[in-house]
Amino acid sequence: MSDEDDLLAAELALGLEADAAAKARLANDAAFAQRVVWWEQQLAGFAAEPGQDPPSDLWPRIAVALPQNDNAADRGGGVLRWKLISTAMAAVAVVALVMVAQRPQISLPPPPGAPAVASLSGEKGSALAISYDTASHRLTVAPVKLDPGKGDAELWVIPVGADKAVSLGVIDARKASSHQLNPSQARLVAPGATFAISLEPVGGSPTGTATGPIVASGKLIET
Amino acid sequence: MSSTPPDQALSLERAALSRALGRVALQDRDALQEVYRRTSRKLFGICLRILGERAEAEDAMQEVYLTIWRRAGSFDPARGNPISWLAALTRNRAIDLLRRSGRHDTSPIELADDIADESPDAEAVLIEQGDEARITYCIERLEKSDAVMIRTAFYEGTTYADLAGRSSLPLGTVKSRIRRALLKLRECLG
Repeated sequence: MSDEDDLLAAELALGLEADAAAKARLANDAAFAQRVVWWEQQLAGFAAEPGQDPPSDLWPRIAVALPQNDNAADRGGGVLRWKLISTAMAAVAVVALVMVAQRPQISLPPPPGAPAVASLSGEKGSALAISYDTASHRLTVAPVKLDPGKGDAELWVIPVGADKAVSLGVIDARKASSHQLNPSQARLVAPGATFAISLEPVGGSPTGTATGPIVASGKLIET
Repeated sequence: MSSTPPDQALSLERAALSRALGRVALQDRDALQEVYRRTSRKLFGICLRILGERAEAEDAMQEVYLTIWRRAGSFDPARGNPISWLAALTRNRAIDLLRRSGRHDTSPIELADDIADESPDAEAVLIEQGDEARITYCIERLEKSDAVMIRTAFYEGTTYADLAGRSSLPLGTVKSRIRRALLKLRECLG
């Protein structure tokens, strides 16, 4: 490898020049591509700063976005989706809870004490609010916008520190509903856990894991 | 209290990571979680340093681990160590995100005194941390302003043109200085 070629590899590794010809060469010239990798890995030694703990809900968020669970990620919408969620989160929570409180046809009694709440949102504007009474294990799900198409919407929980979603059952996509969790479900639902909604065939996922796209998700937080 | 010598601990960690990446290549989700457990602290540190904001660093982390999920098969343990491979991948994803966000640091780059930094600590760091620290050792042997420009390019994804603008030097000068510095770096890196 000539110095000139090796410098080109280093420039590409650092991104010093937006050189289309050099990028094209990556695909056709294995020796050149190897030099780019060599430079990238040598330069990566700069990144020796002290580590920082990521938030505890980051792993579940990554886990639900893996292609196996969520075909949205295959379409390249994964991160954008999460970005939208984090921006919309606060607003949706307030709006959804106000709507629940104001809609006269909803006659669910408010859970006693301070409930934990989650605001779920996703691509295509899906939005739901969840409130959970940690004492009575009663879960109230209020869809704000949710279209299950010809199937059913299924609610999942990814417990804190876990990477597998556990089904909490099919929910009513049209109006708020209340669910009494059994003790084994209640063990999974605690502040910090992540809820997700997937679209499934009528009756829910036949496999025990989400088979359809995740259309909304959000984290349970204490109020 | 017994403890494993640092260099041995490092090579054990690398071997474990290489094995986990091999399993990720076979689409083993538990293996990806193991990679996450072993690396998320370090990689989140890189994302935060480059992007500056937690929300963006979290977005970058999601892209990073999804990329690892897809590309673990292209990691070759014979040709590099897994920590460098992951750090390089993370740096590139974070720089991509920084560029896409349109945020652009245009603050002037200070190129003060051109004396190589002969800090005596560099050698010690090299012995302690192995080849990941080699670049740090080598860059300190460059002229300071060249080192600053290369570091800026690494952390901010700045192009030659950006560097010229921010250092108030002619483009040709910046280019030839960095190229000369890169050749010196290569010699030192061996």
